[in-house]
Amino acid sequence: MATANGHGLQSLRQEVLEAGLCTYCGACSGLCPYLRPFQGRIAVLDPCPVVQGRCYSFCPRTGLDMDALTQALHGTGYDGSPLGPVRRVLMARSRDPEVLAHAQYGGVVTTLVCLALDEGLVQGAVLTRSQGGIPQGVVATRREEVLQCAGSHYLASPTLEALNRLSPRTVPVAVVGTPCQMLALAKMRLSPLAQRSNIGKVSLTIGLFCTWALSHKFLEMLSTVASPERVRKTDVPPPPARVFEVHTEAGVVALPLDAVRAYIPPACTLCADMTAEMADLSVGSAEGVPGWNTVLVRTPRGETLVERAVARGLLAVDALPQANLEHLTESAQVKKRRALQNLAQRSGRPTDFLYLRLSREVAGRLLGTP
Amino acid sequence: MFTLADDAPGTTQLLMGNEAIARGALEAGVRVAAAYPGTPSTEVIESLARVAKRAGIYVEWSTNEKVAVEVVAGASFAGLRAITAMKHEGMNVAMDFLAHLNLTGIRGGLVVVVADDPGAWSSPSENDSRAIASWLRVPLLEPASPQEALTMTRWAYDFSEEFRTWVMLRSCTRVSHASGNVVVGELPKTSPIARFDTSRDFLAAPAVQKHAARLAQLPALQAALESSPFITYEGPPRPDLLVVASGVARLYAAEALAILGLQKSVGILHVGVTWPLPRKAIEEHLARAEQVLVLEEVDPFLEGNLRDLAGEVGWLTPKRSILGKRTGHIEAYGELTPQAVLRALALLLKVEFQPRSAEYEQKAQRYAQRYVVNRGIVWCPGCPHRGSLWAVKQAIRLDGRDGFVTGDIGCYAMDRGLGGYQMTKTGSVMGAGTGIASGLGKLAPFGFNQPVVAVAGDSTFYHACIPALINARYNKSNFTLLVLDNSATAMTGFQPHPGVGKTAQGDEAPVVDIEALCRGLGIPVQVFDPFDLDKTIPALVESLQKQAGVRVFIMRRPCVLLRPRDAKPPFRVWVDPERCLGDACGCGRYCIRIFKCPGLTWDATAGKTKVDEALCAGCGLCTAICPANAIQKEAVYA
Ligand SMILES: Cc1cc2nc3c(=O)[nH]c(=O)nc-3n(C[C@H](O)[C@H](O)[C@H](O)COP(=O)(O)OP(=O)(O)OC[C@H]3O[C@@H](n4cnc5c(N)ncnc54)[C@H](O)[C@@H]3O)c2cc1C
Repeated sequence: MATANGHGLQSLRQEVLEAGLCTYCGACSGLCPYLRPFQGRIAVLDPCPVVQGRCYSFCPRTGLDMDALTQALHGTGYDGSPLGPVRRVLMARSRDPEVLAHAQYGGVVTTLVCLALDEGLVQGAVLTRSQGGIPQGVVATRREEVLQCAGSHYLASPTLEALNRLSPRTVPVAVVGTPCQMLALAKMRLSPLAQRSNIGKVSLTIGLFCTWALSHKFLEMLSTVASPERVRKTDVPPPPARVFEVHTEAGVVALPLDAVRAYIPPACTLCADMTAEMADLSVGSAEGVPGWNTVLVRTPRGETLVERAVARGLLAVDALPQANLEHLTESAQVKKRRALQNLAQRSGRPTDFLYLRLSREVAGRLLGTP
Repeated sequence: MFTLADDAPGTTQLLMGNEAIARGALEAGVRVAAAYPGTPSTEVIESLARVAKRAGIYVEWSTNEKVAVEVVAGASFAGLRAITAMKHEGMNVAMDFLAHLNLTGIRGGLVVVVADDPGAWSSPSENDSRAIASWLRVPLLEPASPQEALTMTRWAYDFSEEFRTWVMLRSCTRVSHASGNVVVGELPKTSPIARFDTSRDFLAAPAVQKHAARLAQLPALQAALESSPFITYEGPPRPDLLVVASGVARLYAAEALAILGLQKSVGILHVGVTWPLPRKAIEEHLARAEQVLVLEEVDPFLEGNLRDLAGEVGWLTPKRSILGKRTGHIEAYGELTPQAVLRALALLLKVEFQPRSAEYEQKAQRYAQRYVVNRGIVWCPGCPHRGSLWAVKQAIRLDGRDGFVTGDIGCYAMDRGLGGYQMTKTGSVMGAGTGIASGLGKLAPFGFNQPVVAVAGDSTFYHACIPALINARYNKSNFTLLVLDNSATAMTGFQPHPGVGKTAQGDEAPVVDIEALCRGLGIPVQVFDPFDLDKTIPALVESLQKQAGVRVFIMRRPCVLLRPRDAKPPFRVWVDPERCLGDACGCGRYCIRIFKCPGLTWDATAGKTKVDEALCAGCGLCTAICPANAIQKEAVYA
């Protein structure tokens, strides 16, 4: 595993922040007074003297050894398969009308988090809540708080800052996040500085599918159709619709997706993980089946939780249509290939993927080159 | 205790150079004194203010040096004797009017004291003001000691009235701030009536005629200076070397000659009136020497004039020379020192001289360190500027577009010191921060997108920021001006100004409200407590990002030094050793290394930060910056 020897804030700044690699996941934040997530950017406030920094070590955009990470979490090496290690694929939907009223799709995430809290599996959950249109990490300990976080916020959110700031009393916790956030957690777990993080308190991780997030500049565009406080939901409906939907009390406004895509930060185009491969289970939309989620169960822990939710009558499950699975697999594969192409283009060397460390063989397979 | 208003003729008093100037002015019957404070000139007017009521004179702190000169010129035009004092940089501000006052003429005697700061001990520049005297054709006096400062000042008034010209009295730090025995003279018993004679005028125009008249007057003026008591010679009739010295350099020369035992072979000609040059007196002495060394503070001013004279009278031959700063025998920058004089003399006269070893300096430093804390230029513990500049730093870094501060002259300039945050990138003269920001704020069409924060103290704001601010408003510039209102002219020693409700003489005065003034200009103003970081940082970020014209933030909190010594601090502040993790924290000693308040120190034994109770002013600002919340505070009730 790549260690953080001799790398601190200065390296983070050069290799990640100023290089446009930062995903704004928040893994570096809330640990020290030298940097702070602010308006979609990690603001560096002062020069830090620490030679081996947690910021650099936990960052999912520095020395990401896919083999070591996958091995540690899933017990197998990284083979570059489009969806990562999966035990079970299914389609699911909450049976709780209140959850469904708040949730993005089938409310699986909210339901599972509530269950984990109810059953005392965790004492808190690191979730994402939008305030005034700006998403931020929060620690939910009660059902109402989990419900307040339901729904997807498409702005990148420094959610892991909330994990880093966790009060010493809250233990254990669940974390819900995007693929880059799941990668950061996996990296924290293997970091030589893991002892000085809260990763030991994380006993459940729920990943979200993610093709891209949006930069904070998008708020300017959004505010031309609705003030952030009035937005109830935003959504990217599946193709062929090429729109970004903004739901308000007054109805739905559809922004042209191409215009919205202009706000995708360059860092997202360098991401090779669409389905949050480093989570206990991953949740996304079920294209063409409104009100349902696609669920990829990856670990025994994830599996137990889903089974328990079904047993308690909280989740309805069904098989994921074959066409959905094929489409998902293809999208995930395309994301991997694009990321590798973009990274190689950036580095100027066909086998140098900057932060991403892969075996030659896997890289070749992903790029479709021998 | 003797005060300057005591009439004790013939007695010897211990006076500081600036006090001696003030006493000289009182003995000459000065009625009006006005100035803006500026080190090393401040005590001239300050000591007059202290005795104003007893002496029956009027003393004011003016908003700036130009206004001060205008105020004393008014008094002079009405027939009263008057004095103003300023530092060399203040003279630049006053220049606009001074460069006309030489043509308008005066009525009551008028002395303009300028205290230069060789070595720039308390100034951002080390200009020599004397060239201004020759440029404006006004007489120039240079005292060497407190006694001479008194005598020359008193003498200057009759001279000023006789030739209807203002007189420049040029002092330096070592004359102004040295104390010495001074025999004082008599104070006048009567006072003239002030009246402006409307049958005459004080216009500069018609300039050409006035200029011609000024030049025509010079020979008489020069002749009068020749017979002044301020040209003296000490030494053998035919010296091996003639030292020509002005100001305090004469004392350095005497000291050096005594150390080298050269009094018998080297002579010192002290020239206390250096412009127009008293040619005859100097010519006489030149005639008896083959080599001349000129000693003076800052520029080779006297040296150049002397060289001109020597050339004109045919004294200069290949075997004779005039040595000094132009020839590299003395450095033409920095403060003149007895050491430099010793070195030059030893070299010229080829005498053994054991220069002070380099170790001496180090040794002296080492001994001194036993008695003084080794601390760079820092804001005092409890200084409101720390809160203001901290907020600016945080806001600029959060904004992330490489913003910066255009600074000004005051304690906040210590942002560039060891204890500061290095956000200030320009700083030279009063008011310039606002003017420069006004210019930068118009560069958006050329791709400029860095936010600009101008800072100025309250006294500086009144002094020179207002025209720049009006300019910014009128021309729709874009920046944030922080008026750091600490209710004091802190850097020069707490002289009152238009914002504090008191005059130089201690009387009640109306307060000129900065907020209302800015509002009157149509500029949005907000008032903040610089210690309320939760409010100031977001407000600043918003202001930097909005870029909507010029905005003023008044950061208001009195200078911590204004708090009475026996008053309780607002908070008791301490470091909770349970929470401070020391070097294990990962913060890299943030409070000490980044925040840098001298009230926080590193306890090497405990490996944690601790509050230095002797220094901490109890402001509580640091409690907001510790990432571990280890710095605690508790309100102290008086
Ligand atoms: C930026 C982003 C992009 C996505 N892209 C895709 C995609 O391309 N394809 C796809 O199938 N699904 C995508 N998803 C996932 C999808 O939108 C739903 O979050 C997921 O299907 C779970 O649905 P649900 O009804 O169970 O969620 P809910 O029960 O409503 O729970 C949603 C959870 O998401 C978390 N969350 C919301 N916003 C963020 C954020 N910005 N960062 C981290 N966590 C957040 C909240 O904490 C909440 O607990 C994306 C989600 C995000 C946040």
